[in-house]
Amino acid sequence: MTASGKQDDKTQTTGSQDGSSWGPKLFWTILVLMLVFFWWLLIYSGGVEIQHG
Amino acid sequence: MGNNLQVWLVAFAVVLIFFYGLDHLIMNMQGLPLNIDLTPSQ
Amino acid sequence: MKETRNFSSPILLSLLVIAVLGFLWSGDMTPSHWLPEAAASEVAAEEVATAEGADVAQELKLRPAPRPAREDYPDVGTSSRSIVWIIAQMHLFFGALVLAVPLFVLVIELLGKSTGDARYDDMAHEFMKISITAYSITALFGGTLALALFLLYPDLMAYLMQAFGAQMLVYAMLFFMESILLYIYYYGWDAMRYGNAKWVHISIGLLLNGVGGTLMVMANSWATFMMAPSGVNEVGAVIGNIWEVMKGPLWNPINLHRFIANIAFGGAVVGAYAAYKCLAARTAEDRAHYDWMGYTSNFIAILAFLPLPFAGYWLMAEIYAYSQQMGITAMGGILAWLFIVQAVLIGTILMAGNYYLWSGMSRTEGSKRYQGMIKYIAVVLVICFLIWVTPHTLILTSGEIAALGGSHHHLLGPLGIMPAKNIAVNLMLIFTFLSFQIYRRSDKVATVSWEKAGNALMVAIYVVAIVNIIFAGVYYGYFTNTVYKVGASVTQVVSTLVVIISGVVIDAFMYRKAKTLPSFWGQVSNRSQYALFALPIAFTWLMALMGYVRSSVRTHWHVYTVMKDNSPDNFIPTIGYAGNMMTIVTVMFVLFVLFIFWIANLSNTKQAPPLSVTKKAGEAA
Repeated sequence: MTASGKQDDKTQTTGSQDGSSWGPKLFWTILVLMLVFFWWLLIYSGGVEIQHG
Repeated sequence: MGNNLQVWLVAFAVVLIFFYGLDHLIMNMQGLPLNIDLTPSQ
Repeated sequence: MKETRNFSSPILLSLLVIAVLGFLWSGDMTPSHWLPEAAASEVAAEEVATAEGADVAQELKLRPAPRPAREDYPDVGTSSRSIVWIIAQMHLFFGALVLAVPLFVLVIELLGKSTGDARYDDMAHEFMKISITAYSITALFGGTLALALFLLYPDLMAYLMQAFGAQMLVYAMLFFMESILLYIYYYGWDAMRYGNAKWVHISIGLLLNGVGGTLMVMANSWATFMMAPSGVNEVGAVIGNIWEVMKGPLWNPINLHRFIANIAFGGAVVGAYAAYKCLAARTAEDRAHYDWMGYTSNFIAILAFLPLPFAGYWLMAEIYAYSQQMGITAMGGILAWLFIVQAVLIGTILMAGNYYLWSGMSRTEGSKRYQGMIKYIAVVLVICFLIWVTPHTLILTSGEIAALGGSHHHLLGPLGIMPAKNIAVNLMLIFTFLSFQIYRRSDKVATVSWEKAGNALMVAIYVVAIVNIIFAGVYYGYFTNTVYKVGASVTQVVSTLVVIISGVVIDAFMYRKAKTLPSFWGQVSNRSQYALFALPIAFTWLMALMGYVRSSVRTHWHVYTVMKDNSPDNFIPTIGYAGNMMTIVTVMFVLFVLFIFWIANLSNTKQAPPLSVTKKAGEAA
């Protein structure tokens, strides 16, 4: 018996029930892209040569 | 007992050789070669 | 649980910062110098001058760094440097915290997903609660810092805008991304709890860390530009593109050092939260939960702390390579004594971390076989700490110098230079790892057939590594030339890393299918929780100390060799003054953190309704 008050919709589960697991693929893709991004930002850095003063 | 001693001796020998080689490798990589007795050769 | 949140402060501050930056940038700045193709150069300017006339040449003319006179600096009645010092350091403390926590929260969340153990997920969620309040405070201090800098150092800021241009706008706009991702990550935790949705949540956490990391490295480039400017000529005119300006010789060393240090610092702060909750726990279950949380935090803090000296060493080496003068100012001249203070703080951190591990061994009976080792580890740590703390040049009167026969003690003096310090720090790290290794082994009994051989190998690695470190430090440090001395420090570092990596690998294999002995979270002394309080305080003070060194190593330059500091504060203050400032910011930080812990608690608190309300509810039912 529900007490008076709002119905709680938050228990609705999200996510696929049919067993397809694209979740890990999404994670790995984003991870790889991020690593490439940081390589570009920090290591490649527009191809500049560091002047060590 | 003897077996135990052997295990320890082998372990130490292996590790000593490993670190000896490591010292040579790392100093060489920096352009600082060493003699056999680990003294600087430059 | 519904929590209304004030979204406005970080967003409003971001808007304010963007507005200020946009106004200043659009004013008198030529944006062309940051476009790679249109990089202004003396040659180009001359060519244009001859080809198209003087007014176009004027537009492309190189603009040197400003040279403000003393009276150009706004005077607000108190030292501008102290104002900026405090605000900047507070911003850095909180920035470090809010960048670090999502990093290890993500790892813990992944651990929870892979083990299926809900405790990890709950702990990760709880850590994020602390981070959310801290994020607002970070933004508040960041906005205040921007205002203080533009108000008190307008010429410097105009010059930095000239050098960095739109990169600063990118920084401000990234905060929108950070805020969006952070709020989805935290508030969507329960909505995206299982299956593919969980992976979406984890991916959002990953992006959050990516944006956070980008923010950090962008801001780092301003600090490193001020220390070692690149992409500018000798009078400060920008002659390179934005990459040349950003990627100076100190950029990546500071990026790496701050990245690792943030994790260590973040672990220590959440460890204090766990310790507080553990001590305040009313049920055995809560005590066990927070004891476990404290252990995890300490693990993160110490794990990140172990490679940190090496990242710092790289930074120092690059400073020396860039400018010998600057390197000597830092460690051989006026700021040298601060590195002795650093040794005290790191010694504190290592002692507290080790003490916590030793105390933790009381959680299991199986630790008794290792407890005899603790006193020897403690002795080594204390001796190494004393060596590390020993100064080289002493502060003496002329009478004392005469009595001593020089400015260095003839026996202890040699302990004051780097070879001795390198031996000490490497040994402290190895023995800290040993404490950690015996703690991890305490609740396990190996069942593999090669246990004896594995242990013999492990002991051999420890012994030979320690001998190697001492040999490399003493022989190359005192009996060969400088180049070999410096080069030998790398063999010391690698020896330490060999111990750590082989320890992790050997134990991983040796304790497969091990018999586990009973171990009880919560069964630990209250003293150990106080060690978890000591850790973040030492870390915070250490950050303030090293931040001060990094900043003041520029001496009387805003931007080293390019823009002189002509403000009334263009001097290095006394160590006592600096120490007081660091203590002030540390105390302020601790107070803010207590506020954050209190808010976290408050959000879990429900006031009991008064009798009249319950009575009415009872009548209605």
